[in-house]
Amino acid sequence: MDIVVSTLYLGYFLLIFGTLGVILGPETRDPLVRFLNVEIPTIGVMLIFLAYNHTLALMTYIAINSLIVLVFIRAIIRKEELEA
Amino acid sequence: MDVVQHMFNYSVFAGFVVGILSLIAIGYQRSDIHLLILTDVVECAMLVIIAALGTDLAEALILPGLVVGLAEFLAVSEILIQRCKLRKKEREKKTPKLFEEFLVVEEPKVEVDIEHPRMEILYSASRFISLILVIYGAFLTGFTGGAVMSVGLLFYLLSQGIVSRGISSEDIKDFWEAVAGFSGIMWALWIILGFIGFYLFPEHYVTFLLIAGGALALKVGSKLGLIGDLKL
Repeated sequence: MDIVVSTLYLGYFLLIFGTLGVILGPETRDPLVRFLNVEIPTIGVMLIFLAYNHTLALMTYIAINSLIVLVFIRAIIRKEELEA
Repeated sequence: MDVVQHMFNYSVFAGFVVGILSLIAIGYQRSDIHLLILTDVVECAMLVIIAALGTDLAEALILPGLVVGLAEFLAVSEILIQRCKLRKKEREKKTPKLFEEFLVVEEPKVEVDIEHPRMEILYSASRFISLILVIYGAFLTGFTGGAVMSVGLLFYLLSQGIVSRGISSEDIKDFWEAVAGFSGIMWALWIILGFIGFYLFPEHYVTFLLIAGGALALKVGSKLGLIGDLKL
C-alpha cells in the first residue's frame, strides 16, 4: 500500500479509537486523565494533516496544541483548588 | 493515485463519526470541565472535515480556526473558574495573574558561583544564530518567514535573559510598546497598501505583492517576538 494512504488510515484509526478512549476509557472521572487521553485523537489529526500535505496547518496545530495544554491544565488546577 | 479525491469520503466519514460520538458524550456529561475537554475532541472532528478538501483553501480555513479555538478555550476556562469562585463567595484580595501557576515562585539558589561572562559562546553564538534566522526569515517572506524571524528574535531575547545583561524591566516596557506599534504599522501596510493596491492598480501587482509579503513577514515576526520577553 502507498505510504501516504497508510499514514491516512493510521490517522483515522488513532482518531476514532482515541475518541472512544476519551469517552469510554478507564479513569475518565479524573479530568486530568481524560485530558491526557485527548492527545491520542490529536496525534491522529496531525497524521491526517501530514498525509494531506498541509504543512502550515500542521506546524500551527502543533504550536497551538502546546498552548491548549497550558490553558487546560491551568483550568483543571484552579478547579481542584476551588472545589477542595 | 490522487489521494485527495480517493480518500475524500473516508475522511469526511471519520470526521462525522468522531463528531457524533463526542457530541453524544457531551449530552451525557454533567461536569463543566469535562464538557470543555470533550469540546476539544469536537474541534478535532471539525479540523478533519475541513482538511478533507485537501487544497490550499483547506489550509487557509484551518489556520484561523485554530487560533479562534485557542482563544475560545482560554475565554471559556476563565469563565468557568470565575463562576466557581462566585459560587464559593470568596473574595480574594489579589487578582490572579494569567498563567501564574507556571511562573517560578522562588528562584533556585545556586551554591557554586558560575561565571557566565567567561563563556564567550554565550554572547557571540546567540547573536550570530539569531541574526542568521532573522535574515533567512526576511528572505522567505510571508507567514513562514515571519515565523522563522520571530524564532530568531525570541532566541535572542531569551538568551539575553539567561546571561542577564542589558535588558531591564523598563527597557522591556519601552521595547514592548515599540514592537507593538511597529507591528500595527506593518499590519496597515499589509492590508491597506498591499491588498487594496491589488484591486486598484492590477498592472502593478508585483510591487504590491512584495509590499504585502514583506509587511506580513515583519508583522508576524515582531508580534511573535514579543513572547520572548514574558519572563526575563
